[in-house]
Amino acid sequence: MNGIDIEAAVYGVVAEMSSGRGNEVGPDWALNETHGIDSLDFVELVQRVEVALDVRLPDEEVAGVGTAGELLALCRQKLAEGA
Amino acid sequence: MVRSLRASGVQVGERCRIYSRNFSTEPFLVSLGDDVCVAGGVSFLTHDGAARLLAKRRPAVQKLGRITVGNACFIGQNALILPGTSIGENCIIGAGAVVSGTIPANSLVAGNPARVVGRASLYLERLNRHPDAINSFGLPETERREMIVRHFAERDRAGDGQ
Repeated sequence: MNGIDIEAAVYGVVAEMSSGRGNEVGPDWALNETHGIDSLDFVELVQRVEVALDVRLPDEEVAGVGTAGELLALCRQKLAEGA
Repeated sequence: MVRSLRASGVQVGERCRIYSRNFSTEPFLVSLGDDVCVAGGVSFLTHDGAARLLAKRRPAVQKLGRITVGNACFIGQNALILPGTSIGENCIIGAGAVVSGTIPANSLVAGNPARVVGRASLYLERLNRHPDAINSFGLPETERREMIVRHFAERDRAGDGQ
């Protein structure tokens, strides 16, 4: 999977899980209540990203993610480690 | 609460916190592991009442099901656990969830019908980092209240209060 695909997959899931303005998702998009993502939604979002990319994001690392860009970076890191 | 539930036949593990008395008409079919927390309004339903519609054909028929909850689970406010449900260890059941079937260990479960939305362990990691997760549990009530009010006042001043 190339970088463009990873970005599209991650931001696509974030957009689906965000309320209203999901088409504006970018690196600084906050993954919190501001965009309709509560703590339960965040867990589902991570699971959907993991399934979409076939990657495992460790709890202690992904729990601190605050933005869509940080989530994308972590996915890229874990995919590179697993490659 | 735990003592009276055990007397009614509910199998209750050690160090459980239970804030509901709704263990159906067959409480002896419910088994809770150790360190389980059951919030208020949770209902454990151990039978299918629709069987009463068979009364003309089978006057005494009942359709029953056991319920088992593994160690270290949390069941949120007003969740409904249906007959035949088995919940694995370390699960979190969201408020109002209507749960049936087999729930794998470490699941975060929500909705009606309930579904597994992710890992309970991730939910806890995230919760532990949330700015509103403060160390107020178990404090004397006055001290606890002051701490909470102060916390949200500070959040308001910072412009990020909920």
